[in-house]
Amino acid sequence: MLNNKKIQEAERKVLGLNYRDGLWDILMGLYFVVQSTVKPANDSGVATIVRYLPPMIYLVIGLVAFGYVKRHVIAPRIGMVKLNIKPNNQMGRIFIVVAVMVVITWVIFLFGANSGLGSYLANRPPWLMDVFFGLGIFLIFSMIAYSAQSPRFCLYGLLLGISLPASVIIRSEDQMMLAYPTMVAGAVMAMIGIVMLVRFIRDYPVSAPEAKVKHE
Amino acid sequence: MNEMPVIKKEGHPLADIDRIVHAPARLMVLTYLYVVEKADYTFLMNLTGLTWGNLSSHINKMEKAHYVEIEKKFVAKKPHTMVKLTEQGRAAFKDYKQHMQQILDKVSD
Repeated sequence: MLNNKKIQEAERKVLGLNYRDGLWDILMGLYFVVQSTVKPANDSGVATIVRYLPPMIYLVIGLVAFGYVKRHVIAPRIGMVKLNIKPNNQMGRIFIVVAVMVVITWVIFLFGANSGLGSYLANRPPWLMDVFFGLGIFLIFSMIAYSAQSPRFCLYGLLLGISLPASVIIRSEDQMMLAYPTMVAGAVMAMIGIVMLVRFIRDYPVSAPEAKVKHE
Repeated sequence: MNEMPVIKKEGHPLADIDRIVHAPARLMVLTYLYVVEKADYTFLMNLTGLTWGNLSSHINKMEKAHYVEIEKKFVAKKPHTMVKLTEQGRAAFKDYKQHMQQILDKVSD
């Protein structure tokens, strides 16, 4: 019987198949690894643009490689799909959480300095804001996990969420901006992605050439 | 003399059901096309479990009914076909869903 539940199941199956290759995991994981090596401004003594050059270079190379692998390795195996760009309920909820976090952050930084909140924040425990952002990250990843029917995103959310306050608590002498916990979280993501990609290539052999099929 | 009751097709709620949509394989394909913008044959084959030939035959029927449109192009010198649900197809799918819901709501438990 066709009903809304069946349509939602179909939507999740499409997303599940589309994200089964692990490419996003590798791209995001390696990004966090590279990003975690960026040193904060007050410690490095180099210009901001130079400090952020490695993540920016990685993003350019990573996205080009992502597109290439998607087209030449993934598409011949599971085909190509263009997902609906129409926003759905899950996307709407993720957008609301991100928007609330951005608004709260701006309120704290713009208006907090001249109020009682400003003095409180000046004396706050160093990990307080990181716990707040960590919870937000976990929430966003949990929603992605639910809508894409990929529980592994919950694990990523947990690892990245914990890594923010953990980076402050166990800050290394190198004074890296996000430090080792984020690097570990990124490495775990990338490793899971690589395992998924290998399994994907094994499970989905290249299909018969489309030229053999008569559509007329 | 016992005669089997004859169900008149006219007036029966199932009589005017859209048979292009009603076939299980086509309904499956339409459901997936309903939730994406467009997909190619390989992707639909992986989702539905249909063979190339079977999928192609169902898509042809839906194309003749103007429920789907086919975009053919060459990608890296290889033919590539994307299938997209038309507005007419989307409306037919919605009507079918509504129609079936109404019929089943009338059936007592």
